[in-house]
Amino acid sequence: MLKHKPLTALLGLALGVAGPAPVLAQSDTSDSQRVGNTQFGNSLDPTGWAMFDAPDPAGMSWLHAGQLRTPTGVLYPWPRQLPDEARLGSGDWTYELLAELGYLHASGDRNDEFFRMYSGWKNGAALGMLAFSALNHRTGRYVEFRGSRISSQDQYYRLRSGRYGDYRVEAFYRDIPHTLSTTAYPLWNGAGSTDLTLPGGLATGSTPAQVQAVEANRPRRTLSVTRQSTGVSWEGTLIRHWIGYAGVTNENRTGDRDWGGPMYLTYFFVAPGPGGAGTPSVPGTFGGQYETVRPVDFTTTDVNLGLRNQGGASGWLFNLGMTGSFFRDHKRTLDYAVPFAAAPGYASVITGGTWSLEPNNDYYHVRLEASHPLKLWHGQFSVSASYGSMRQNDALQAPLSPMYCPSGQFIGSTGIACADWNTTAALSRQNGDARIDTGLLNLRVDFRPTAKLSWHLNLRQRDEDNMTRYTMVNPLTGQYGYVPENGAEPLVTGGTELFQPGSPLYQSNFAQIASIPFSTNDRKAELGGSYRIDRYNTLSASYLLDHQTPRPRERTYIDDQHLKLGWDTRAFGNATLRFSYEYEKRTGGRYNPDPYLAAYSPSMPGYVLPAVGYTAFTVAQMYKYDMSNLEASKLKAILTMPLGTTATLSATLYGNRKRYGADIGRQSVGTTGADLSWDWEPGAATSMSVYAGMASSRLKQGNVNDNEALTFSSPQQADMQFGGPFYPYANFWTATDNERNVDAGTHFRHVFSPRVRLDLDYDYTWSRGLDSYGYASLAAISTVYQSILSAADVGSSFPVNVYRMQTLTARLNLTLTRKLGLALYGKYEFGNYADWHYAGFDMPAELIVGNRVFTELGPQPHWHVLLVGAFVTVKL
Amino acid sequence: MSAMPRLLHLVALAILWAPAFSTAAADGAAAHKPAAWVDLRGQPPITGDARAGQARSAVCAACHGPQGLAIAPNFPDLAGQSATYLYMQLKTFKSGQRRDPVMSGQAATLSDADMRNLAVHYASLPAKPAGRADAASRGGQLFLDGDPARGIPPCQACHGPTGRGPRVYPSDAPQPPWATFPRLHGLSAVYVTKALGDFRSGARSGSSNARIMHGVAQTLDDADILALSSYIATQ
Repeated sequence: MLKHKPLTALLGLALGVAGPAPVLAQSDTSDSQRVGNTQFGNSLDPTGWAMFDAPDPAGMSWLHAGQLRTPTGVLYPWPRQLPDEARLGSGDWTYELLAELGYLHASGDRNDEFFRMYSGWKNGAALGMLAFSALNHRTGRYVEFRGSRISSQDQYYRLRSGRYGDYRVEAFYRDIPHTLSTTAYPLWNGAGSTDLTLPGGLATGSTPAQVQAVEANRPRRTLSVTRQSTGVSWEGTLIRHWIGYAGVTNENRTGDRDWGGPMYLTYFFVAPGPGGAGTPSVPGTFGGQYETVRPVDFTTTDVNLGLRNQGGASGWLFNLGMTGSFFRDHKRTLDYAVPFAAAPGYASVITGGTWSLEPNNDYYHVRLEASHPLKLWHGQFSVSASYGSMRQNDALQAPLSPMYCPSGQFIGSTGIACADWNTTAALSRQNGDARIDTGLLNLRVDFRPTAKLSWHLNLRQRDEDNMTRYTMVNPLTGQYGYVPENGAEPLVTGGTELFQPGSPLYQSNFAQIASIPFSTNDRKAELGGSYRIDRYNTLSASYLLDHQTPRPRERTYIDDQHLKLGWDTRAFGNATLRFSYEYEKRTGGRYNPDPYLAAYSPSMPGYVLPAVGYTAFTVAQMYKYDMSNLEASKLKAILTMPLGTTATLSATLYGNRKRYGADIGRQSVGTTGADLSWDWEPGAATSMSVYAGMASSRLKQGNVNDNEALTFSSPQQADMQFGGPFYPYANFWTATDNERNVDAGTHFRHVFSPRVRLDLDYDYTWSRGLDSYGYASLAAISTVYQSILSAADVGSSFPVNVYRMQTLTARLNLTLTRKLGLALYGKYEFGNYADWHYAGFDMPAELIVGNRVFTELGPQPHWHVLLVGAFVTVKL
Repeated sequence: MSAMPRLLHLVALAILWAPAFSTAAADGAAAHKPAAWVDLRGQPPITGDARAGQARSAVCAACHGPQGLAIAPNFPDLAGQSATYLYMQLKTFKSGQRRDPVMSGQAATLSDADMRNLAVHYASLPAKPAGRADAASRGGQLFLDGDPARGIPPCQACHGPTGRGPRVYPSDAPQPPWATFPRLHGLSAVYVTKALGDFRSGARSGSSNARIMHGVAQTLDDADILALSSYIATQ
């Protein structure tokens, strides 16, 4: 073939003469041996290496001086210069060593949440980089080590070894911090453990004033999670054409984070409220809502094994892979004592709540991928099949904690004995026995009958089978369902949400008594192709039919049709223009607003319909967005325009419009955006880019408030129709979420001489969110608060949320001698933040609002941080 | 708020510092650089006065023959060679990127115009008639197809299928400096063997084209070089 394609051969030659890249220059390829770690870098150098690269004035090829471009016109980056290598011993090995050690210091608002979000900045010594590589040019064997450490929560180390074209092994260790809050004032002692206890001076039944007084003096702490990952992997040639790979990665996530703590609604059924008798008190003195702190102590172990074939005599390409992922939660429960009595003045035995934290999970997956060329029309046939299974079988937890609902006690006047619910004897089985299996088969043929025409057909089937079946019946009482809200709801309302056939007290209760095994089958068929009209224009089109049969869901089937059209053109000078348009239409079977009755007590024998029926599950006209009819259009235009031989201008304009066939539920979503960038590489010494992007989105939804005056008191509560007595038109409301985002920045790099290099970066991020709403009448906002509401109070929107951050980063590399260098690093970050969810939280005492306890004040409204560092670089 | 001015001072200081280092850097870095090489990637075809070149060719003819056909196999034929190639060889002999006990001295006395004129003169002479090269020989296979399994590219990609220069195809991509690539057909096996050996060892690496040939020649063993030399000599 090369005989007839001299230019092709020439380009191959140009690439070939570069020879094997030096070890330190290896990029982080995404190949089959990786399990969960694809990039090694940190906030000091997110690229993990680029700061130490020197661009090679020789450029990319000995054949031509200019930089090559991608087929669409984007400049390739300037290649790096080959480093100095020293001979290791008397053999064929050479090596290079680089160490950068220095000091970092942050001043200003260095404890700001955004500054620390994914960075473990710490004043003190830091290891910018420690890198060692050795290469045997004769055998192709190599060893490479690379590591960096900002602090004990922010570091990585990686060791690679192997032989080019033969095998590679890799081992790594890394810590990545994730700071969730730096302004947390948890009320409880033991934050981060599984047992949250009240601080001295507080006991269940305290008043908000008493809790406020204690909260005012709680210590500030940071909530964060650290991801610690270790792993080892291997990939190598077993026999000719056959490559094996294996990898094990273990990730520990430890720390703490905000969590919930339900104790039933704090404002319901309180009398008298500001609206007079029968209206609730706004601060609330019943129930309780708690923002607690939970521990995070997870381990995920991923195992990846596989075998692939590079192409034997038969022409088949194979990849057989097996994956196992094993999640372990080392903390099983979270217990929290509550400062407020669920029912004030009542002899309450409910003094706290309990969580069952995430269960252990085992996931197994096996997949086979194969392809084979076809003689017909230069075609190719490919097939992939996979089977997966996800299983959970932890020991189940007692519904109530004996600590907060001790044996011998009863919950209020309901007659519910704590002893019947605070041991695992209350469970219908002792283990979860949960399992979801998935199967996938994908068949595809690609043909290229002429040089101008190509087309493909793809058939895909994916089935998901949820085998979990769990019916909750308490063998001690014969009752179905659970005691809700840690027992607080029965205390407040007397409602038990338990069902028991034959029991006058429980036979008419509406209760969920079983799990809902959501499953789905999905069939896809796609036919598509492209045709090159001439040297400058290519048209493409495809049609996809996606037929889904989910169960139990509101529709028995969904048909999603996608028509995609594309036009790529170079008819306008050197510019490449790519247009794409997609039209989507979704339809389906008849919509059933309540397909889940089998999991509720009315489906059980012995259920006695009460005289007033049971409350409607939802309004009949409410269409869930993934089940609703849909018409959508997406348009995208991408321009890539070379400017001379050293610059490229890129622009993208895109817009999506989705209209759902619903008035109640999601109505519409629209996104409009544009990106513009200019990249300039006048030579090896200089590169610069400027970019700006903006996007706006609008999501509108509608809903109808139920007429709570009818709940439990009128047969009309069962009426699901919009416009009926339970869902009257007057209770209709809409909410619109408007988001706008802007990203902009510039990056500049210049090598003043082989000894002086400057990197300057400026990045700007801004986002603005506004949630507005409209309503038919005040009853749409709240039926129970209606008498104390006014249109002036309600307004038409929530306050605006704003996030703005600007970062200026500079790094100056100075080479003092051949072996010694100096690097100066500076980063100045400032921004502002406003989120109405945190409005009114300026000091810890304000975190107590009625019977509600919050934990964090939220991010700082304004912050400024200066981070400077000085590093000494040694090269050997 | 005081952080911003401090940072600006830092950046300003760094920028002001940079030129001071750049002078010193050039001196220090030179010691670590490889030998200077001539960048031929942007070299356009040259022009010259063939008649004037002929007038200056008497000394050259002593080795390369009066009609540009060498008197002994250790000297290359010049007749019909690419003028730009010949000019760049003379130029690198003079400036030291290419060294030869005889040619370095001969080129030292030539002006740039002399070199252009000589190059155009020899390029205008009729090349050696075509021989009967065996395309099925090992050398022919390497020349025409290379050996992809060993990373050997086909010579014809740059030197043309008959060794009489590359076939240039129109393309939007950046073009190689076709005129700087030599014509190989009929060059003596002795000369080609020495040239490939010099490329392989790095003895001849003073131009961007020589850097290409260094990479190519490193894929060849002695038997390959022998086969290729024999094939080229019979082209």
